[in-house]
This record gives sequence, structure tokens and C-alpha cells, in this order.
Amino acid sequence: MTHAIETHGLVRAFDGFKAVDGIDLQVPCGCFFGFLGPNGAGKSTTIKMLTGLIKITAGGAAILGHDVEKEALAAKRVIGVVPEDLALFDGLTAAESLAFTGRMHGLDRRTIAGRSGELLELMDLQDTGRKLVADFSHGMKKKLSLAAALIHGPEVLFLDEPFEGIDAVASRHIRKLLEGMTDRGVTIFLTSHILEIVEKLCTHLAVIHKGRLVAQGTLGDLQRGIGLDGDGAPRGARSLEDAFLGLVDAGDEPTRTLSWLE
Amino acid sequence: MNRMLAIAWLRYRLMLNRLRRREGVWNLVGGVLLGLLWGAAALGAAVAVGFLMKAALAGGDQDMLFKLQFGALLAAMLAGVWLPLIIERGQAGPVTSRLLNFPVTGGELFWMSQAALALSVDHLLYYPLMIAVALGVFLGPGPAWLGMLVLVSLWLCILVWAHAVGLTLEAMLRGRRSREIVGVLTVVIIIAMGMGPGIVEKALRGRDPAEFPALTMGVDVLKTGGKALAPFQAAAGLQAVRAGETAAALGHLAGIWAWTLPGALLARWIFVAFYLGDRGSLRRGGRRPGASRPIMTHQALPWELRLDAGMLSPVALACAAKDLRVHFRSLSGRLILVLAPLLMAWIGWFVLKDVAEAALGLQVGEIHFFGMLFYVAIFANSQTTNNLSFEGSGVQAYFLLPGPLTQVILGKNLALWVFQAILLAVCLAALAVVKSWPDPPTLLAGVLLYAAIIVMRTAGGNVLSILFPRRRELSSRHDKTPLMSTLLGLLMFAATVALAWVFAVLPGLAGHPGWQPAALGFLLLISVIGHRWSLGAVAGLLEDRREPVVAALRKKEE
Repeated sequence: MTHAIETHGLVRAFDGFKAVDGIDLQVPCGCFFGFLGPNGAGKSTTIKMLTGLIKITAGGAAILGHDVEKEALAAKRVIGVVPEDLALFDGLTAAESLAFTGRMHGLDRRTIAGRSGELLELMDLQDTGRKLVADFSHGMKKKLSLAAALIHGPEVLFLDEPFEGIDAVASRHIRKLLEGMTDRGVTIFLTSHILEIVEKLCTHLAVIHKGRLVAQGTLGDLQRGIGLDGDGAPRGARSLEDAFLGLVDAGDEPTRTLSWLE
Repeated sequence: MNRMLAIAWLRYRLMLNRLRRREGVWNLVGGVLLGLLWGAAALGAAVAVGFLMKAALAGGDQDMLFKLQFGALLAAMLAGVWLPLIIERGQAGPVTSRLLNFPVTGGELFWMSQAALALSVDHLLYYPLMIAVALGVFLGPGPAWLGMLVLVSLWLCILVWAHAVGLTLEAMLRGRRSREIVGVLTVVIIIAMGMGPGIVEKALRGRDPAEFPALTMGVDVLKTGGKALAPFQAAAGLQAVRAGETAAALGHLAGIWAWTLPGALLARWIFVAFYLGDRGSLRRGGRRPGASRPIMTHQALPWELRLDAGMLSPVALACAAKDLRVHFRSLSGRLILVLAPLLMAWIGWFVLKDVAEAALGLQVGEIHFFGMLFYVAIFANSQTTNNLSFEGSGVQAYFLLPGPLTQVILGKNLALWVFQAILLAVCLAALAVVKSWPDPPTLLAGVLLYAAIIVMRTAGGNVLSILFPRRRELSSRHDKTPLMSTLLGLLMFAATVALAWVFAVLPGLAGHPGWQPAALGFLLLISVIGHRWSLGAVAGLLEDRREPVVAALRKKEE
């Protein structure tokens, strides 16, 4: 098997509007894959289809060879997800949330206790005690969601904006952790608006714009303008930001100003 | 002034947008109709009071005039202070708190938000009554300026206290725990007010109230306290104005301001402490500094350990354990566990003891016991017909994790059954305190009947929960179940009760009353089989409707 994630003509339509319009993704095993795009481009919709949160309108997708619709449970056993809405239960504590997730993955109590202790310490959530998730700040919820996604040792990890709202210290810990995971063969599929982080972490990238995949390849490929679809791609771009802006038709736009601020 | 008007506009806009957003056009139509109804009621009451006051003025009936004005002003005060809390559910200040970003001083913001209240829709409702009283001032004898000074003072007093009470309640409701305490207290007060007169009346039946000195003293205290209230002072002030007693009128005016000033100080203090100070920010979810505690990992509850030994799948058990915790932590779950036994005791003590004859094919003892069980079964209606409500965005976990949805639903139902079993046990304990337990065959039949009803309701509730999901916060005092779901849930409940009743009555009618437990046991068995059979279809429905379910549950409670 060469690809951790593979999609063929993946489509998702909402009332006739195609939010994702026939994308063909190939994510190699063990890579750190950045999935980029402007707001509303279809990033989260794609993740939701791949993780089974929403239905696929047309086309197909497989994770480690498991069809996400026909073999949904097998696919879910190997993935960990930090979705856009974090998927946490307000009525549980941090430790209970991890225990619930661990049990849903079939882990035994001793394993759950050991792993959740380590995860809570790593995420700096060890002091939360009896506090319910409902009373957590957004950053704490994000860290807990990430901890829940890791507890069963996933082979493919989907992270939708994982660093948004997380403090610098935790962010550094998490980055190191994720890099270590890819070193051990885990595939990470990440969306983020923070291009510096993507540039630092990701080995492979894809760019989606208006529901269509406009580029796919290694970080170096994209920076050099290789692996781009169509003719409008900016060849020889120097930074990821330049390459990205060129791909989403925003590179040549004149700087907009406000009349009363000129 | 512009900013004050902007705040007033913002409140209207938010209210209209909330109407428009929640349920679409029908909610807007309903809101407009409700507004018209409120408007008609407010105007109708004002016109009625106006005509009655005119007649009293013409007839020189000072006593009637005083009563009318006191009644109207008391109604205005109650409407002004409490209606905003009911209509806006204790959220008098969210608009204010969001305005802290703008370049206004705290003092300006305080006065602007207080002044903006004067134009809010909930305050407009009592203005017609105030205008009717004001017209009476101009039509009656005495200096109109002094009468108007009294009325304007009362109006300011109402605004100030509305602001103070709204801000205080909102500050209290910021913490989840305090929200729960306020919720429990509110319900207990409502129930005490509803049942109190009946209990007192029963206790006093055939006895002289003078035998209860505490009661008569309480009534005296209420009467004296009532005379100190601002509306009473205002009505007395207007009476003094009509009589030409300026000094007395000024004394009553001072009485109104004796209420207004502390109200203003309280509002100001709450505003400064919770909006401008750090008391509020400490409660907004941020972590408080404190000594490090040892890492707490999940501790298994005793029932989880016992259940693990059974035949249920780990997924169902994990879901059951999670849901059971949530039921016990939710305000509605706690309220049910507190109120159901109280109501059961009350019903057993006051209501059902009047049933003294066998009827509907059942003996008196059976009617009492089964009747009480039906009451208990009505509780937890919203947990059954909106059983995804507490999941919030967590519902996504069911679609992300590798557990079969049939097991997820089974686990959730299992939690409901355990919760209902605990509820029944608590209610039986309460029954044992106020009455005594029924004979063992009736007790067995009752428990079987209760279990069958709960299992059948859960099966139907699963479908309703998926068709009409709505999010509910743990500390919510309100039942957020959609109306259609509540209606269908009640119809379903009536149908299951009727079916259970048939199985309870049939053996007696067939001349074999001893077979009643067996008949009800059979009903329970087919209910369990039916429930098990329905799980696959319900899981399929949840799989198909995952997107609307997730969308409905991620919406914050409004």
C-alpha cells in the first residue's frame, strides 16, 4: 500500500452547490500532509467526508485501503480526528472524555488510565480535576480534543485547524509530538490557515480552491511551481505564501485600501 | 443620546433576528401574533383601568381610586422588573457586556444601558397602564406636577430595579453551578407557590387560623411590608396629591426614592464588579491560578465494573456510563430526582386517597399504585424524546469513533433505563414514608408495568430524538424539546399507558386476576424484543440523518 488516504472524484453538493468538486487526493503513508485553501474552499467538507461526518455525494475515498463508506468502522479504527467543532461532550471531565473515547476504541482500563494521564500532562490539562468540559476555555477544549484523537494510537490523524487558540507552549509540545508521530509512520492530514506552521511541519501539500484541487505535491514542488494543475500557476515562487496566493488567484490582486484611511 | 438609541436599537434588532433565525417563518409569525396579543392585553388593561378610574373620580370614590391606582402601579412594577427576566431568560446584560469594546467609559455605559431599558419592548408593555394613571392625575384634583413627579419617580424606580435585578441574575447565572442552584430554587418556589395554598387549606380545614400564630404573624408582616413597597407609596402619594396634602405627598415621594437609590447603587455595584471588574472575567471559563493537583484519571463507577461482567458490548457500556453521568449532572436530571418523589408523595397523600372505589377493572390499591407509577413515568419525558440533547457537538464522536450505532443507541437507552430504575426506587422510598408499600403482587405488577412503559417509550423516543433533535445545556432550566416532538411523545406515552392498562386489566376481566404479573411480564418481554428489533432501523435513521442531527446539536441554546 502506498497511500494512506486516497480519493477519486470526491464530490459533495449542498442543494446543487458543489462545495467539493471532484477532487483526487493521494496522501503517502507517513507524511505530514497540509491541506490548504481560503475560507469556504472546501477543506473542512473534505475532512468531514473522509472521516464519515457527512455523506459523499459522488466519487469515493479510502483510508489505508478501507473504503470510508463501505468499510466505515474499519476506517474509523485507524483514524484519530480533531474536527472543526471538536466533538466533545460538555457533561464530562477531561479524564472522563478520554476514558470514553478509549473505551469506544476498545482499550482496556489500565491502558486508558496510563495513556490519559500522559496525555493530560502533555496538554497541561492535569489540573482540571472535576471541571466539566462545558466550563473549559476554547484552547483547553482544543487540547482535549487532540488528546482524545491520540489516545488509541491512530495510524492516520486528521487535524482541522489544530493550533487555533492554543498557547505557544502547548503548541510547541504538540508540534514536537506530531513530528515524532510522522517519524514513526503515522500519517497526519492537517488544515491550517497559519502558513508558517504548515511550512515548518508539512512534507506534502495540496491546495483546494472553490471546491477544486489546484495543486498537489511536496512542499518543495509547490514552492517551485511543480505539480500544479492548469497554466496559471506561478512558476518559481519563493515562499509558500507566494505560491498559495498565486494558486488561489490572490497573488496579483492590487492592495485594497479604504478611502478614509488613505 | 445617539449611543443610547443605538443600544436600544440593538436590543430590538437582536430580538427580531432571534425570532427570524430560530424556527423560520412560522416562528416569526408566532412572535408577531404573540406581540399583538401582548399589545392588546396591555392596551385593554389600560383602557379598562382608565374607565374605572374615571368613574371613581366622577363618583368621588377615593377608596376605589386608590385601589385601582395601586393595582395598576403594582402590575406595572411587576411587569417592569420580572417580565424582562421571563422574556429574556435572565440575560439582561449580554448586550451591555459586548459594548465594553467601544470607546465609552464604564460610567457612560452603565447609564446608557439603563436608559436604553426604557425603550425595550418588555418595558413598553406596562406604559399604557402608567399613561392611564397619569391621565387620572390630570383629570383629578390637586397639583398635576406633583402627581406627575410621583409617577415619574416610580417609573425611574421600576427601571432602576429592572436593571439591578437583571444584572444580578445574569452575574449569578454566569457560573454553571450557580445557574443550577437558581434553577432548582426557581422550580421549588414555583411548586411551593402552586401547592402551598392547597396544603395550607387542607391543614386549616375545619380549624381556626388563630391556632397558628406563625401564620397570622406572617400575614401581618406581609401586609406591613406591602405598604412599604414603591407602588403603594406612589398610590398613597397620588391620594395625598388629590387631597391637597403636599407634605404627605412629598413624604411618599421620599418613600419611592428610598427604593430607587438602593436599586441604583446595587445595579451600579454589580455592573462595576462583574462587567468592569475582574469578578466576571474569573468566571468566564479561564483557569484560576492555584496549587497543582495530582492528575485525575477516570475512575470507574461501581455499576460500570458490574456491567462489564455482562454480555453487553464495550461500546454500549461506554455510552451507557457516559450518559448516566450526564443525566446525573444535568439540572433536569437532578430536578427530576428531587421533584418526582416529592410529587409522588404529594399525589399519594392528597390526590389518590380520594379514590376509594374499585374501577376500570382494578382494585383500589392497584389504582393508587399504578396511577402513581404513571405520574413517575411522565418524568424524564424530555430525556426520552430528545435523548441526544446533551451531546452538543459531541454527537459527532459517534460518527467518528468505531462503534456501531446500534450499540451507541443501546448504550444511551441503557442509561435511561438505569436512570428510570433509580427514579422508581427513590419514589418507592418516598411512598413508603408517606403511605406504605402495596402488597407484593401489586408491587411486582406495578414494576413490570412501569418497565414495559419505559422500554416502549424509549423505542419511540429514539426515533423522535433523531427526527427532532435540539441542543440543551447541562444547566438549562428549560425543556428545549421541540413542540412537535413533545406532542408526539405525549401521544406515544398515552398509547403505551393504554396498552399497559389493557394488559393489567385483562386477567381480572377474564376471571384470573392472579395472572396479572404474568400478563405484564409478557408485555415487558414483547416490548424488549420490539426495542431490540427497532435498534437496527433507528441506527440506520441516525446514519442517514447524521448531518441535520449534527447541525441541530451544534447550535448553541438560545
